[in-house]
Amino acid sequence: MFLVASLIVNGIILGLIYATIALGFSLVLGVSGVLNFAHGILFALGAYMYWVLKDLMGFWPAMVGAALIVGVIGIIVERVLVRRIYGEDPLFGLVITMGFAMAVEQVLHMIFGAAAKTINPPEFAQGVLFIGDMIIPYYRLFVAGFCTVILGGTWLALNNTSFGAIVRAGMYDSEMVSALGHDLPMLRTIVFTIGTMIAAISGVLASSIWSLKPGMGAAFLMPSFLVVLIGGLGSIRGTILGGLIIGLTTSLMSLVIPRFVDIMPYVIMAVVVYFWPRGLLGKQNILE
Amino acid sequence: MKSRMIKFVTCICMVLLVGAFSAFAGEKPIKIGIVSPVSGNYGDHGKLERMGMTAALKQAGGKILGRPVVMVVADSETNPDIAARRARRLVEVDGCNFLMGSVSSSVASAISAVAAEKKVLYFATNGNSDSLNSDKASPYMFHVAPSMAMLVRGGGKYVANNLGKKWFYLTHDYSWGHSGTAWARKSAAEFGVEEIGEIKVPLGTRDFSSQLLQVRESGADVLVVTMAGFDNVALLKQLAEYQIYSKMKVWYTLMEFVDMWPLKPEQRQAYANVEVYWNENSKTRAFAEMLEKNNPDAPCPMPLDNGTYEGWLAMKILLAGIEKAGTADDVTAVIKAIEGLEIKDNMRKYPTKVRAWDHQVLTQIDLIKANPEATGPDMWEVIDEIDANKVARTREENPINVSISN
Amino acid sequence: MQIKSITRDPYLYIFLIFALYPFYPFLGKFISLGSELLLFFIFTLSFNLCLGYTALPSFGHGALYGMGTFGAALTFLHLTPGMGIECALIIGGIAGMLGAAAVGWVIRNKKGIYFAMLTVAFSQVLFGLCWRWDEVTGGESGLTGIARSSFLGMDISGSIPYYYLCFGFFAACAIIIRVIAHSSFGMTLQSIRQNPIRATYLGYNTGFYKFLVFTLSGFFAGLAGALYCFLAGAAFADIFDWTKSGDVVIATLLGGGTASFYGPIVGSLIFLICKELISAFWEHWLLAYGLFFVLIILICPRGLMGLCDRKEQ
Repeated sequence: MFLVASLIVNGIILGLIYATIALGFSLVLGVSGVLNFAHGILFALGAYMYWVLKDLMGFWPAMVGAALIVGVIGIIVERVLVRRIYGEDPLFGLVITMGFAMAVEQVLHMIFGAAAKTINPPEFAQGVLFIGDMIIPYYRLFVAGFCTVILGGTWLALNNTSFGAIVRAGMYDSEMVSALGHDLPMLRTIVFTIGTMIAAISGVLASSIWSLKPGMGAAFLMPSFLVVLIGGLGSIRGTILGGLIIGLTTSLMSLVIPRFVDIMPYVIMAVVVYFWPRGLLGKQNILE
Repeated sequence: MKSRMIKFVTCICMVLLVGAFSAFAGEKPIKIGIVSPVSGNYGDHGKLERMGMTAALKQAGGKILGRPVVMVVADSETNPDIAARRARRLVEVDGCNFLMGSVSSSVASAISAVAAEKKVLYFATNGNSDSLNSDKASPYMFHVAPSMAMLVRGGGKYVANNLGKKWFYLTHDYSWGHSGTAWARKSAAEFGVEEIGEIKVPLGTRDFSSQLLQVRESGADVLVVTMAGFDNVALLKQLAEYQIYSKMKVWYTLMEFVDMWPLKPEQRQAYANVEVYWNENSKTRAFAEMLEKNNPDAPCPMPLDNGTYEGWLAMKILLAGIEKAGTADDVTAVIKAIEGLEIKDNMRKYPTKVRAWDHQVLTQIDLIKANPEATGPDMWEVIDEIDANKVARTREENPINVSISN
Repeated sequence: MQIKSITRDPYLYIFLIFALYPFYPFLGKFISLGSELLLFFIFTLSFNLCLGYTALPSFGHGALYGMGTFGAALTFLHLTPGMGIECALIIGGIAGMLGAAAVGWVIRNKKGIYFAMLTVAFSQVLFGLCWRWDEVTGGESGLTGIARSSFLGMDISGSIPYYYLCFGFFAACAIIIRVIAHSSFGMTLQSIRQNPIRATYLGYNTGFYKFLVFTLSGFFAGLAGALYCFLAGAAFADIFDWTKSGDVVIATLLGGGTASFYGPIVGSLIFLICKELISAFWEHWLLAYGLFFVLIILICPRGLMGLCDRKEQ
């Protein structure tokens, strides 16, 4: 029983992390209709920037620094590359971002080498929490809390601010937004930048759990996709729900059918998309 | 019409580019084609084995039978289909009679298929799967890496007698992982060990929290792990995070130095089988220092890892074989010369032998214990040196014969 | 008139170039790469029936190719050992077709990215199964020992005969695919791409047409996969991974498959040859290769052939 309880807690924590990784991907796809396959490499960039900065300035400043640096890269990527292919088939976005990701991954190889690196959690979150026989590392608790803050903050900002209202309108119908006199290109740049910064922050958080390698982001690209499709495009609540579903299944399924935990998310996605074509909480969106 | 001309010209140009590229194949040195990962996640493992090959070639003066020897490197991208394409290029275009490299068993069996088709000699380094010299065995391939049978049986006795009799298996879910667990089970049965449970983990798993929670609850004495690559680096970190070491001993059926090195000292606590340890004796130490000096871009300090040693050994065996055969153009003669060859100056306690009937190279295996206090690269101590002759599969266990000398 | 239309036909030049390929001074040595190119042409052309003609972004075409490979490999190893490869090739094609039919029927009415992701799910599930099922697929070490023997009584064990077999299949498939694309069926597909709603109102069962084209495309992909299995002499589970499907998508888009029928051929040439070229010379070739994609899409957002066609207009 303890085991099932710990697996559920673990699944929720994992789910929140997955949701946060997918959040940036979801926002960019929702507002700009671009399949950002560079999401994984931006995640890895965040982690590497943190690795460089953490010894110089400590956890919090390093995280902010990593997010800012990657955010600036995000602005450049959006202005130079992604901007050109708005309105084309989303697959062109895929090719251009994938090309960019390949190139940057190789740059990481050249600078940091292909060998793995590990990072210890910051001082304040080391050690583990025992509840009876249940074991939860403090760092995972901290990450779960931080992810909740990011997810909740984004959700509140989208629902309660005027900028959030424009973003939501952009997800629904981007032409109408620009017809109403809002600066659509600017909106897209801002959303892309926020998306990259969230990717970078999730990279920082994940680096202390899963270690670093230039190709570390690729493993989270498809899961992000699955989270977004299960939860539904254009819905933050959907992304959170999708993340939790994937986290809980991978955690609980490891008890029942451990051999197929990697396939299960795909099966769930297929079932969900078959019966709920827009995902569980999806709304009408610009990809239709 | 104009557009058609453009299409036409584009096609022609593309095709001619290939022509220009092949123009580099000229001269007549002995060419050895190296197919190993340069880019991608396994680039560091590829780098290590290439360092070993280069070192062996350098020790031989870069020449054999008075002819210069050159290495032609092609990127395998750790993908069997791409590796096979590159291997074919090395044979067809560059005219290599000898191939080397791999890093994974799937890539090794892909290159081995090319070698058999083109009748060239291939040395499989760093792929430990048993199948490489049983059902995938080929007269044109030598398996330099120890098979899982040798690794697991070598360490199993010590682990059963000293660490505990209740074992839990954590395994990568594909052929290589399966064979690791299968041999661990066999030696477990031999030493009266009880199996508590098994979890098979899909390749590409980064988060092991749910599996480790189950392992903690199992009440086993020893966790037997067969896991590799980046997944393994993530697992090593999480073993410490979930405090597995305080509950049980951990025994890796195969460990790479470059995978464990990035961990913080207090996180390195496992027992493991390795093919070589740089600080095993004064010769390996001197060799590792030399490697470190000559390769400032090596992925770890003291870069004498399993892969480095295998690359070094493969090149040494090949050069010795060519010398013995007296020719580098007759592949069959070279294979005949290599079958049964013994390498004595291999820096180890036991000599290296090339077994003729299954083309397995038999080299000493070490059982190591990680030292949680060591801060430098001297992070392991060797607790047992195992003669591979005693633990390799016997003819009854592996009834094949790919030898061409008899 | 007839002759003029033939001399203006790009196929004539493409066929001519590749018919003489083994005899080119340096090129002749790259014989296996040549065969692989031809198979990749069949593969991308078949894929473009879906993407370029029907706007079906299939992201699981690698799985259909892989089904062809494994279908042929298993047939050759277990059903027709030691015999010719004809039977294995047919079964490979049929395996691809059946796989496509099964998936295509279920998801025929899904749109865009949802269609793409369902096909990804299909290929990832197959990859997972294939990678673990040691007894049948060989798991990690794959199926090897597939020594091609003969085709219709001709000995094809050498590299050059096999090249010409691939060339024959390429020519036949290329012509058939073009006939399909330019037939009334192909026109219907294009109308579905341009305006699915209007096509529905005109009385076309768009879902059924999508199912048909996906199945057809699956046959050619499977056939290419089957031919590849005899080229490689082996079959590995890695072929099902989504990156293989990604390769064909990228190659087709780079060449401009949505703009021109011949886009996939140009794209495959660039995709494969640049990879072989750059990777042979520079350790960090992925950097140049990635930037190269970015550059092509920046200069001609609809792919290389998109550039040509725009000039024509």
